[in-house]
Amino acid sequence: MSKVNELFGRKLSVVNFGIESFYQDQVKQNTPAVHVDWKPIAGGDRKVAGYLRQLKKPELLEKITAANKEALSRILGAQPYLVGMSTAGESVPGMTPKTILHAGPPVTWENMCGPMKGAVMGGLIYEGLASSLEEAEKLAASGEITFSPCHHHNAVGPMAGVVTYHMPVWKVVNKAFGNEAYCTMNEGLGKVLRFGACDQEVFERLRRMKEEYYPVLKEALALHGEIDMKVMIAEALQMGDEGHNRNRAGTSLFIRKIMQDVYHTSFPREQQDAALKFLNDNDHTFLNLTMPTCKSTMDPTFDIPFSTIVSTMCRNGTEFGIRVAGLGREQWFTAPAEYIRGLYFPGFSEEDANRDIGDSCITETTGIGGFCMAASPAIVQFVGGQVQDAINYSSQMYEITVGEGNAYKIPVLDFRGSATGIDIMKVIESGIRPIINTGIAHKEYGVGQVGAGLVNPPEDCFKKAIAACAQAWA
Amino acid sequence: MNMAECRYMCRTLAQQLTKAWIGITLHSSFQSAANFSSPMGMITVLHPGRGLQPYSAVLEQPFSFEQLQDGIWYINSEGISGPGKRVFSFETAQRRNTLLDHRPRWRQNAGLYLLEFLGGHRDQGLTAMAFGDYTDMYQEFLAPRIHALRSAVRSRNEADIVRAAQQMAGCGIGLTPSSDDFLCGYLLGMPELGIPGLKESMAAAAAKKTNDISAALLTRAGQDLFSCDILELTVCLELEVPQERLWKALERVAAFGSSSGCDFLTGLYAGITENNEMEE
Amino acid sequence: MKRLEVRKNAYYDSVTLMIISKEVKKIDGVQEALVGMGTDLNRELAGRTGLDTEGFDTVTANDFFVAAECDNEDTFEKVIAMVDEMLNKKAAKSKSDYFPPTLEGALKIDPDLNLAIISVPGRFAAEVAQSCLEHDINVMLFSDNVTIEEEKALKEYAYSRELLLMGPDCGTAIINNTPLAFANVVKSGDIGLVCASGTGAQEVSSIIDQQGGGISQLLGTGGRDLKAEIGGLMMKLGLDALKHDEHTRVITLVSKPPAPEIAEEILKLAADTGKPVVVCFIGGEAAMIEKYGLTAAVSLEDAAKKAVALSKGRKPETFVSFDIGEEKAAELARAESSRMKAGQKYIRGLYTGGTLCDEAMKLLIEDLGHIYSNIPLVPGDRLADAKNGKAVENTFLDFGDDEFTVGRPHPMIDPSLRAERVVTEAEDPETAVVLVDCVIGYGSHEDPAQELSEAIVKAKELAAKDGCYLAVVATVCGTEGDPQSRSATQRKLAEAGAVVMPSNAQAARFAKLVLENR
Repeated sequence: MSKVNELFGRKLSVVNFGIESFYQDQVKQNTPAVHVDWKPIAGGDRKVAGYLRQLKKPELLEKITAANKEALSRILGAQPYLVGMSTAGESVPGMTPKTILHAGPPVTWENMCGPMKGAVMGGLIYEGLASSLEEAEKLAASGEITFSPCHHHNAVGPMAGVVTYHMPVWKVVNKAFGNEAYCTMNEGLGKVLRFGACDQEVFERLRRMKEEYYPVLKEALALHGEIDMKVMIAEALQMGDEGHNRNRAGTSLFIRKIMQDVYHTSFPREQQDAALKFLNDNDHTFLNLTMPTCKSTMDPTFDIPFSTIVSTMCRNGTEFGIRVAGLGREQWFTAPAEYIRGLYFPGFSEEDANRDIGDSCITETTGIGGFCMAASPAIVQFVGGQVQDAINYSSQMYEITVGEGNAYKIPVLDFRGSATGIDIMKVIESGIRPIINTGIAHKEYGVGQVGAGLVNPPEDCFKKAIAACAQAWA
Repeated sequence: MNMAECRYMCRTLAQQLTKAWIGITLHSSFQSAANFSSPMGMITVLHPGRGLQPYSAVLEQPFSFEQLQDGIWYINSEGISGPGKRVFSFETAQRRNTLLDHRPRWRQNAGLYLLEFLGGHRDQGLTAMAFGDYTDMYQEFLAPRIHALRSAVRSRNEADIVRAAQQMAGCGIGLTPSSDDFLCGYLLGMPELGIPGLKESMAAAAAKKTNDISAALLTRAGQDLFSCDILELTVCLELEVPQERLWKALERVAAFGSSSGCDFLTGLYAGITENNEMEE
Repeated sequence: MKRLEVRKNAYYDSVTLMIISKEVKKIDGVQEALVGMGTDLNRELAGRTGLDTEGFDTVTANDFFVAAECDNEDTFEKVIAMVDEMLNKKAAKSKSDYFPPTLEGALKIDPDLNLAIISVPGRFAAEVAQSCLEHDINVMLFSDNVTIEEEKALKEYAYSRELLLMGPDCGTAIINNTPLAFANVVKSGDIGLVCASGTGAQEVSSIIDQQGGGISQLLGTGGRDLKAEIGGLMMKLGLDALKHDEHTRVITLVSKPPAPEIAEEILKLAADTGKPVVVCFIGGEAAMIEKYGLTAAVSLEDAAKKAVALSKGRKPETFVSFDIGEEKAAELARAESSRMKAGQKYIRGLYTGGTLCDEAMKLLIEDLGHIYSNIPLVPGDRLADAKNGKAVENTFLDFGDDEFTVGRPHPMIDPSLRAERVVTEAEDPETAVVLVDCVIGYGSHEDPAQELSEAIVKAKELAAKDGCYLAVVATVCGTEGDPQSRSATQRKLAEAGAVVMPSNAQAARFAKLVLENR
């Protein structure tokens, strides 16, 4: 009996590609049917489809599959711990007094967007290298200052992501692989350096962070000992955070963890209170701990030959950049960053928005943030949507990842592990881009956050990356 | 969720709204309508193509009401909003009358026309009762109660009328039980007895005995508020309009709900015949 | 036993409640049931009908209840299951509305997928089809513009894995009684079909249904399957499957005349099935078919009638007449032609179904000599610009051909272009008969007769203005079971003034009769 006769003997189960009414007709007849939201690979770009075909040749595909499996096991096997604090100058590799680290892929002073320029000038004044905005601007343009992406220095920074020599940083170590990651302390909302604000209020806060809060927190952490970040983030996801845009639960958990230690430090009671108040007044305190955790989780995926997993996604407010595990740390694939679709705070509109900016989408790269949006119904209205939308976004991400998280889980999806390990081949094939859940910066420096919403990496980043993969391996 | 524009809205509702926000709650949602409970009573948002009802708005484009979330919503003269976002906009909605602003004077053969039309729908809801038939248990059960109402009306006894109206409310399958639709029709058709506030008291008494949605329609009917389709039918039963227009109006009313329209017409027929019998 | 089920503060639309009320009473073992909102009166009524049970006192006017007297607990559980099903219908539907982006995603939702309908643009179609075959999924390839090399590769792969690859350009199939894409709701039966043409398959299967027969399977092969390059791979696979299918007792093959060497091969295989086989090579010779002991058909209709005869154990007889009888038909034709003006002398065939157009031309070519067309029988009769140019003498147009479908849907989905042309042809004083088809069923426009009948009325009025009389002859391809209903479609066309014939062949013959009386 042929397979056709087997078909005659079984219940028909139809999959439909193309004209949707053919699917609807089957539904009307109660035939089990699935409609595929088919799109031509890479939007019909035959060249890109060709690269994908080359990579899918059995022999190569086998290598790629094995490499991606290894990459996934490294991501899932990460053991990120918060181990302490220092200043950037003390521990961030390659840091000099005249180096300024910024978010995203490499960018020159001329090409920086408004908020990043503001943050850079603020950083120069903070470091005492300039005494006014005019001086700072001149210095920045002079060529005396080294601009470098945080990602090149084991660091990450939200929004403008500016890190200077004397700024305090959190230090996270991935004990499974021994690599480190650094991130500054989160300043809070409103007029802050990461959105490009650079006036007295900002400098005064930065000063107090450095002189008053940092010593207390550093000592408290030393007293407490290392903190398992993976466990803490996993718990925050069960409490309504998604790990990028909502950090209220994580911040609370962190404060509970170190509160006693803060009061056991050698500093005066007022200073201890002030340090705790600083952490407590800012819902986003935890973001700057989550980010280096994710960074330290993803970095070991580099240098796995043939892996098509995305190791880095970040943006500098001008361009979006990705790096691919198998192609190494040096190759960036960039394209103009997109504008964020979302809700604006009263008094602001789309005209005020800067392009997508910041290293914070390292969270999505690791499988939280937008990928866990279903875990955070509270964030849904903030970014303008419905709970069902959030569930759909998170569900859709499984189409473009190689695996699922073992620690980061989504309660509403029956505690399914979040989609983890973005595969550029799957992104190209499905036409689905990673979903990023993020804040919107004002395009002029000094104004701050004007809203929040959703954004995707530009498709061109993935097209360029897959071309490079095909050229390198096929 | 995108904002949906309304094409029509009830003028009486519009007149009650100002810029000030009023909190309302989502009461129920269906495929083609959603109801909100408000201090002004039930407010309904309807799919395009559905007839405008009192205290309702009809949308410009189809909308999936199932996506509306439970909880607090807000209404003002500009529209209905959810948390931080306008969902239904009244800004371009045409205000339409839903108030019957005069006492209807039924044309000579109004009752006969109704009877002729109902003849084609004898299997629907309470229609058979217009012909003196009782074909199911609901009708059998209702017959003595309707009789009581009609006798009370004929004897112009206010207390009896109100009690009888209350005793017949809430009987039948349907979301709006058949007897309530009947009563709405009867309220429209019945003669003016010269008892102030009578219809309002009848409706209020009946509303207590049925579910929220049906109660809202009864209350509105007691205040002479009816859907545009019913107002059009009223015009057709008052003036010598061409037969076609009358038939079209009847068809539109008959299409309400599953049997609601026919139940309403049966009640209207009963009410109108009251006029003739009492004039004699 | 009496039982009660209550849903607190639940509101459902009246139509749903009414259906529930009706359906509940139909369940075996339910003596009496009451469904509604828990108002005082409804509760009292429940009391009177003896349905008041424990718990009724807590039901309020805003609660939905179901009360039933039934034989046993199981029956009541059935009642509740039915009520739940009715109430949840909508919710369940929206749940399954997640559309995955890839085949892999679809397989995660339903790992048992066994048939793919593919209608993506032609240049991407082969890749999609190939990936389905690799997952052991049979393919119906609706897309056109697939190259013959791609077709060959796909079919060879499918054949080696014993999977169906119906197409490319395959619009019609009925598998396990399920119509796919453009297909009709036909009764289930013992006639199995393999067809290399879409509307040909629809015409044969619909007439089988009308004649009281039924279909076991209807497999499509795509129009090029019997070309030498492909070698009839799918026709062979289909024949083999029908041979081994116990539900198939009669086999029917439909195709344009194939390459002779392929024809011999296919006919030999057909003879080897050991089952009665009707072969319709539209416009082809009967001799070769009969040589193998198979039954040859002269038209699609004839194929259907012969298949039904064989299925019912009767002797197949060739049908070239009219269901209403020759005499009645002649009388009707005279009535039509008697009203025409001198100079009205040509047939204009305006078709949405390609095979139907082809069949009509083949049935008429001997009498008409030349038929100009965008799908001509001989190259010399090709119209230069079928779409924008004027009709020449006897002209037949296939509106489903590429020339007409660039940038717009197939005329079976969007019948407007053809309807316009009906009116255009009425403006030509030489037009005597407009011959049209109207294809219904799944896939087709939800009411194709509407626009066509409006056009017919308008065309007839236009002709009358010039003192002409325009005869319109129409045929409806489809069944009573189709969503549009054959009889309703026929009535609409007849009311517009068309002479409606029961098959395409009869319509073509009738058009000829009208002309003969000129």
